[in-house]
Amino acid sequence: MRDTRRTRLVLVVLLVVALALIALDYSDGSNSVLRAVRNAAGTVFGGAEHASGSVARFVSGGSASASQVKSLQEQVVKLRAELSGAQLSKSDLKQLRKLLLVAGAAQYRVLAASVIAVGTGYQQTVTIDVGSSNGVTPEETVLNGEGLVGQVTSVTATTATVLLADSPSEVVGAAVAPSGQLGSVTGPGATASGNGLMRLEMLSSSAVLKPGDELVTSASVHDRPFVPGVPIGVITKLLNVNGALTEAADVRPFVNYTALGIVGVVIVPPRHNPRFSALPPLPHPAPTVTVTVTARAGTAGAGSSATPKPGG
Amino acid sequence: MRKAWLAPVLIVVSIVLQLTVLNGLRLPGGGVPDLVLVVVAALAVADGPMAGAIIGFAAGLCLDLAPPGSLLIGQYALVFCLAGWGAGRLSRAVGRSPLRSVVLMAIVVAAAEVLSSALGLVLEPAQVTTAEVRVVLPATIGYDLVLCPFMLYLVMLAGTVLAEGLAAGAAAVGIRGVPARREGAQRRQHRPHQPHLAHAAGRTGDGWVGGGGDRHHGTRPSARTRVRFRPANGVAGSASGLRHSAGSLPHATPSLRLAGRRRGDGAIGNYVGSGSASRGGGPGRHPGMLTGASSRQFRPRGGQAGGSATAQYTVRRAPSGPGRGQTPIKFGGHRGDGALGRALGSGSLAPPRRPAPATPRLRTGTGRSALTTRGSAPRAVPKVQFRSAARPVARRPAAVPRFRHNSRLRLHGTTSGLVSGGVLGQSTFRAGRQRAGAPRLRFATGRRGSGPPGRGMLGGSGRSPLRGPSLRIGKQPRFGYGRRSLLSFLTGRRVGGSWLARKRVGSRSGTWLIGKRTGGLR
Repeated sequence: MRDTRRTRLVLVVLLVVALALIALDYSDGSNSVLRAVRNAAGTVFGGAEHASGSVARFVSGGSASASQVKSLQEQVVKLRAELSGAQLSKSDLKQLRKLLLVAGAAQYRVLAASVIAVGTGYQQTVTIDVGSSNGVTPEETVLNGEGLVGQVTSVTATTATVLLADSPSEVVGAAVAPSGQLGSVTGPGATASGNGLMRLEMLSSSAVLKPGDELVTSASVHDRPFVPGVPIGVITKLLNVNGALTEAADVRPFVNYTALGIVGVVIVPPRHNPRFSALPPLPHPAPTVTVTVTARAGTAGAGSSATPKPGG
Repeated sequence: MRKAWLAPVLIVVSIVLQLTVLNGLRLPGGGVPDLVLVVVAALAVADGPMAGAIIGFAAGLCLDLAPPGSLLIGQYALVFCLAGWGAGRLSRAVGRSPLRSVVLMAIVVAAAEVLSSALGLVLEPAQVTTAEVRVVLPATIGYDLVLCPFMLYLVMLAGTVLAEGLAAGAAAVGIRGVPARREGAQRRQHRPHQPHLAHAAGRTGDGWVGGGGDRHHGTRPSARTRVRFRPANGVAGSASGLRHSAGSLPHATPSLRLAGRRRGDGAIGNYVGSGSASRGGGPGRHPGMLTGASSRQFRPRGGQAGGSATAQYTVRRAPSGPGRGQTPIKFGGHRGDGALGRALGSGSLAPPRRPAPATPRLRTGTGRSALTTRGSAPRAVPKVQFRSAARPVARRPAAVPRFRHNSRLRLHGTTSGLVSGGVLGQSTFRAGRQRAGAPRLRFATGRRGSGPPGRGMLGGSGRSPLRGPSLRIGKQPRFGYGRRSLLSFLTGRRVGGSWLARKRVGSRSGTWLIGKRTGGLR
């Protein structure tokens, strides 16, 4: 092989560059050069993702078979009449409505956005199609109609990167719904089902938990990164860890982190703590757990097979 | 040449697809295919280690920087760079087999996924947990492996289409299975229908020339293909220059022997009709085929010392033939009477031991060989007739043996049908380096004393049945034994030609000498 030496030289140079970049980023994450590079790349790829996302939305929106000019013209007229919001598909519309319900209940001012890209590998991150030009800044809370999605970590002009609450590196302060006891919730990371259980650890050793308790975010300092009152999930199982000082529990998140569509960025936090007002309304009357299959009582019975007693 | 923009376009498209579509999929198992990595590996397999490393680095860096990226910048660049280099490097090692390329890609991709996970575990312990790796890694590798062959095919197809146009690309991919990688690879690729000359057997004086059956001897090879000779690479009867059907392909390897061990020996003989006759199909397709001799099989007896001038051919019946013994027919030539195209031998033909009446036989001619030098015994002129043949073989048109530039050998319609055609057409030899000059392939000189020292002809025979020695007067070898040596330089005379010839023939093969001259065979 004639070019082996040259190839090896190139390989070594590239590896050294890669290692240097890793070291640089590892030691100083806020390096201005790296940030500028990242911003530039974010602008370029964000634009591509924007275009790709809009194409995908157009395709999935069920555009007519564009064979006839006449129908196309009619469509143009129709679309002009309906304006941009009408381009949302039905599922998007449903999600948006739910989001607005939650935001209205908790008095958030949200900026609606849609997820246009998802992180590779083990990165529990998504890209949304709003950026600093829309007023998004880092460390803002992102939610959807179900509950907490994550927080904004970085922003370019037209895109923002959201670190999902699903990520194991994300620690969310949580308050248990009826009692207001505080704890922290950690994500499971990527799991086989794509919808793993989060882990709740209470701060106080005297906290009392029971399955079915719901969690919302507790307030952060200056409402960053998390505004208070965003629903997180419901406790499914108490974990009795030997030797642990505080109680721990498995939490099933409200949000399906693998099927994110329309999300909202909280750009103005609420004036008052909404407490638990954004939680989904409790079924009335209160559910009593009736275990129908004993073999599954430990796993599935507590979470999903809670059936309301008729007339109880 | 592969278009330079193919790789960047593929990479960017795959990154965008990966980020916007694939990562959002909810596939069973918890992982999604890593399209970018597979594309990098495929491009590296196609383009080699250096391009693979560069492409991998660039793709990884883009993936690190593209918006949802939260890992450290350079992680994917490191992994993909190594993966690209490894895939390119190993693809050169394993050759061009599609299956092996895919397996290689799979190995490299799996290793890269493992490395990526390990790097994430080490560098980003907060984001990557062991439980996650345990779930995601096998699924991701599985999906990658599913994607590998398709992406390799796609990359190859794209490269070929861009390089050669749509039809050629489709043909190349569809027919050969693996399309052409690059031009260099194309050139290196084995072409079955071209004459090749490579190292002969280890013995001195052996040079085997075999051509593909589908090639006419007069066809000029394309300019960029070099003429290469390979041992035992041909098809039986290929030297006759006629096309063969697939059914008449031989069992035995034909060897067209050039040059003998001893000077003055050798002939270009090909085993006309060898092997193919045993199938019994298609009599008369080949001028040299033993028509109707379905129970016969010509088996070359290897190479005799001295080349085919003393080559022996044994005609055997099939073992299943009841009540038939073996009928060895030996064509033995003596030293010095090698001939061009003495396919079935012009030497003494040993009579069959027990001629069976219903069996096709070779009838030895009675004509006196033109190449007999000793004059001791009448040599047989190859004149073969079979009783069962519809028409005499000798009537069939023979190919023109063209072993020389300005050959005077002409096709005679009624000449011996067993004169082998020349696979060494002059145009063949004019390809490549020898394009400028006349083909000068001299494997051996004429006999000492029969002319000016250092004369030779292809095949090494001093004599031809069709041409007398006088026709070669005036030819001087361009290389070989008459080359000016230091001795001749010092003395100013062409001294030592024959001496050198002896020396060289004793130690070097004719093929080596060709290789030394043409620079192509070593």
